Amino acid sequence: MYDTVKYALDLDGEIVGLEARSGNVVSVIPMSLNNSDYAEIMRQVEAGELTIQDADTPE
Amino acid sequence: MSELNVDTIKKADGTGNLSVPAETGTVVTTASPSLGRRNALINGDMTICQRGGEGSSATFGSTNTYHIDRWLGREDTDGALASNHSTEAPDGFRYSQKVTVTTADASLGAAQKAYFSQRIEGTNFAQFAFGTAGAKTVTLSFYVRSSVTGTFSGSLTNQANNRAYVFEYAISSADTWERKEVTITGDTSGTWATTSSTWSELYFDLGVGSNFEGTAGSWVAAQDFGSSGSTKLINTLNATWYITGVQLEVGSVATPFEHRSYGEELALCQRYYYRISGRRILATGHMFAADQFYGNIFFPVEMRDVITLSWADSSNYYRCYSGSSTLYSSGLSGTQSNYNGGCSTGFYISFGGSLTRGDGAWIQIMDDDAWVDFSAEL
Repeated sequence: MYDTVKYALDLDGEIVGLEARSGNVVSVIPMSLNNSDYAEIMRQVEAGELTIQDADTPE
Repeated sequence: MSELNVDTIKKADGTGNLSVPAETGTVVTTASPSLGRRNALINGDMTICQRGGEGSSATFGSTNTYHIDRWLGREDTDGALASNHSTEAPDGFRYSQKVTVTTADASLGAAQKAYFSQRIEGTNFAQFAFGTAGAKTVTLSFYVRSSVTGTFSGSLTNQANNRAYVFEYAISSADTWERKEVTITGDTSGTWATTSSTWSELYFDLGVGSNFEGTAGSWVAAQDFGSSGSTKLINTLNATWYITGVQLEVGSVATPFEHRSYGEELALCQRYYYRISGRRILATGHMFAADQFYGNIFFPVEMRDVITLSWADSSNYYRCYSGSSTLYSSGLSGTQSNYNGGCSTGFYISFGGSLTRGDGAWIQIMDDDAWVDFSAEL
């Protein structure tokens, strides 16, 4: 279970995945349903248990 | 040439046997295993524990929680379970998985569940031919001990959780290792995993509610993880349950546990999870920009699919060397999606300082408690 989940950007500023935080652990999760972490997040989103936040604005 | 037609040959005292299973016609002996690569499970002897290391502890979570490689725990009851990589083990084994009830739930809700399981990748499960007319009989065997006696249960299910075979096993003596064998007729119905992105799952019921309970001994079209009326470990505070030597193989005979070498088992686990921890070199690369390192990490084996990159994030955990200068970071910044998966991943780190763009650089993990991991778990 993650504390926060937001979209993650790559070096070109494109959304390439999700950034999830749980305590002092940070995860970058690819947006592929073959990835079980992403599949679980999508299950929680569809169940109304989680909202994915916008990506941080590039500096 | 004479021919001897028998089903089983036994020793004079009735122990041991040499059997000819009807479904394969292959001679199998419980005394001298000669049919290598029988076990469809990985890390059945609980040897590999990359996340925490030998003797480490963790807690079952309300979502799939990995501690010992390939095995996951899940618990969403009103109780709590601790997971330990234990050196308590039967003869011939070094480790077991220990589960301890740290908070009991004596009255499980219908939709609550606590279990220990392994997801078996479809590419490894396909040999069983489940879901076809040629579905093979399989046999599960394992060593188990518990402070609680009674009839425990588990199940083998497909990914869609609409096919399940519930099994039971008895623990007759408290705190004593016992070996259990369960033969399961192949399932000719349902859709079963055959690819790298699909799985089947073997469950050990530690406390599931009535929504997930069925009757043992036959295939049903239901999401069943255990049997109704079976012993639920989580009912009893401080109860312990250990398991090791878990094997799932084709045939109706439980052969001795197939011990693979440490390196071989580790490589099998690393297809799903790989961790770099402690004071080590993480990667080499270059300064993509004055404040941005870009590099690649190559995995020891090809991973199952695209990976989740995770790291312990804390001040000065990671250091970038470039030329004669260094920069520190609390963590990594992200992956390059076009280069994620297979045998490597590209990643980058943004720093608060400035080095020379285009220069070569390398990243070092700077703390014993720091780690970076790569997960392609099912």
